[in-house]
Amino acid sequence: MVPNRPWPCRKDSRPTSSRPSAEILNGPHCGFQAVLGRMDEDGVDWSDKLKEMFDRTYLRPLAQIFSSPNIRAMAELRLPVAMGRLIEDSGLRASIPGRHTNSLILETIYGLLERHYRCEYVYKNTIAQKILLGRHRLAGATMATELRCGMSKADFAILNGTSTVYEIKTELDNLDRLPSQLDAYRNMFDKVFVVAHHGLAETLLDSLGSDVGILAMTKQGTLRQLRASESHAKTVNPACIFDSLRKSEYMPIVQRYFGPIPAMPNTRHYPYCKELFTTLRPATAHLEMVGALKHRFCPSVDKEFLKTIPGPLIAGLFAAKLSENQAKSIAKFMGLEYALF
Amino acid sequence: MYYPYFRGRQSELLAIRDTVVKLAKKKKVVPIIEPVMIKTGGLKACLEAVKAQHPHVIIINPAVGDLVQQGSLIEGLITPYLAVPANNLIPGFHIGSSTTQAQIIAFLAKYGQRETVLVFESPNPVTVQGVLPRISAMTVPPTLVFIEGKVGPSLINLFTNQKKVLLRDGFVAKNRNADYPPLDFFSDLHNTYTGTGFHGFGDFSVIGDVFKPGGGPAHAVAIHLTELNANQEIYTNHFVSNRTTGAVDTPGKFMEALDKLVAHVHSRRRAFSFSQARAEFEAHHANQHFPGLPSVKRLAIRHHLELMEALV
Repeated sequence: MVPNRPWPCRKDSRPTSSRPSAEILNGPHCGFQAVLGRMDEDGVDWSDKLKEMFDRTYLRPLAQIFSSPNIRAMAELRLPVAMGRLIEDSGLRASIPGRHTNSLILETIYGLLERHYRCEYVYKNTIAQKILLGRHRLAGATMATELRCGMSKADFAILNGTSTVYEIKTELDNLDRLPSQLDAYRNMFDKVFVVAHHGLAETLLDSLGSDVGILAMTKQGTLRQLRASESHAKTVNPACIFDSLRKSEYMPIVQRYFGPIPAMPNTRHYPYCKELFTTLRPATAHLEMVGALKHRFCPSVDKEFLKTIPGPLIAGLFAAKLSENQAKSIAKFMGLEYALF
Repeated sequence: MYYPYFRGRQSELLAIRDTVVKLAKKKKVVPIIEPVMIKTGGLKACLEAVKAQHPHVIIINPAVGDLVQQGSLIEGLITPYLAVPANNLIPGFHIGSSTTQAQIIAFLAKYGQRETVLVFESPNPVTVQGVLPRISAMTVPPTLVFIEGKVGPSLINLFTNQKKVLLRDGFVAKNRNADYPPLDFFSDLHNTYTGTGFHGFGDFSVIGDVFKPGGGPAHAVAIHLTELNANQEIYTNHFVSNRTTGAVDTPGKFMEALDKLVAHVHSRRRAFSFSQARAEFEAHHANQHFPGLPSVKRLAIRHHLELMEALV
């Protein structure tokens, strides 16, 4: 029998509206198995509202297992308590009785997300797996997260010989900020893609400028390119690029192009360097940025090692910026038997 | 007597060290340090600097930070200092909502032969009633520190034969630096504490009674400088950078805030003449130098310590 605790997620992540109905939690088919069983059955009259409640109750908090703090916890060989509780309380554990590795539990969660709750992490990880590990050679490519870009933040970019930024719009997102985000990205990145679920992607073809590439997430969970991105490398804005760099990154670049930086108070470095940097040709500024960011986000492990990591963890591993030792440790954790506490 | 309360992070500990020489003169300032960092190097250096200079309190059971439940680690650290009475190290105990009578009694049994400090922050009233006879029977009565707003007057009034200290959080913290007004009332407790039966008073410096581990990139730079006005009340000046968005050019934003600070202290030379920290701010201004945000915080705390030292 699945334990009956109304809200297994952390208190502060508790949704404010629509508590799960008694049917989900206490009914004869309580919890996870019953709900997902019904979701997977064709022809069942599945109430949207009930599904929404289930998503909020369990799938949204379960997706947090791929968040950076939780990844780092697992790299210390421990399953975060809140996650363990959720795995038990949601009924997920009861749906796969027997002894399993942590890896299998994670893959089960990811599989559920792929089928029933395609949150941003699923998109990110799909891109990471298929583009980063597929087409790009990891030796020359790296994944950057949380990049400052004007007043926006680029969640996800790939750096190889050039830069490609991906703005993810899931079924769960709204599009209000998309135009201003894309404007900011054009100022900084060579290729700009919007990644959206298939329905939305089709409509974006017309509504977005033709310089922006579009990738559709298909029903099967694969990526399909509807349009390639034009190159923006020659039209980027060096001032915007400069502000995304750290002092330790822009100082050597300025020195290389304009000679040694004269002695001056440290509060003068920023305006002095920025003035010079903005005289660089856009393509040059962009190339220097790619070099600097590749160095900043340099992966600590190689492609061969990544192949030994469960697929669902790839994007999380990069985003959490794990060291080589941490990465090895999480690989070990994945092979251990799942145990609560 | 003035009892500033510090959650002992690096800036706080360094500010205490910076002020040792001044505080050693009158010995009327007793910093209370609640250690919060697992890396205890800063705490050790601070203990080494203040030993035998002026009295100071170390809380052995921190309620926040890395060292919650790590009392034995802190006790191990202070034991050698406690062995030398001239060091003036006073063991302190934090009494929160979940602290039990047995824990308080164990603390008093262990350290009660010497001077001790009990800090009351949202204690369980039943627990306090329970330990009252034990505390009253002590031959060396502990100094009792109450955090205003978290302990009611009726509970404070239960204690009649002990030295009592009232802590008031005068710092009005905002979530974002950009939101600070130019001036805030801080406190006038130093004028009133003796009249209300207290032996001492204190505050949470220019940090406030909120423990926030770490921080993000600063979008605005703010410098908090306390000041005594003509009515003998303390106010906090908040000097905020002109630019308050984007995480770029922190040094330049610091200089914007520092411009305002220097203009202000120039207009009130005599009111700030005592402050060594103010002099350092002016030196940074003259050199157009950004010492880093932790150093800015350290100077602001140091300035407030100097101000209070001059008042008590």
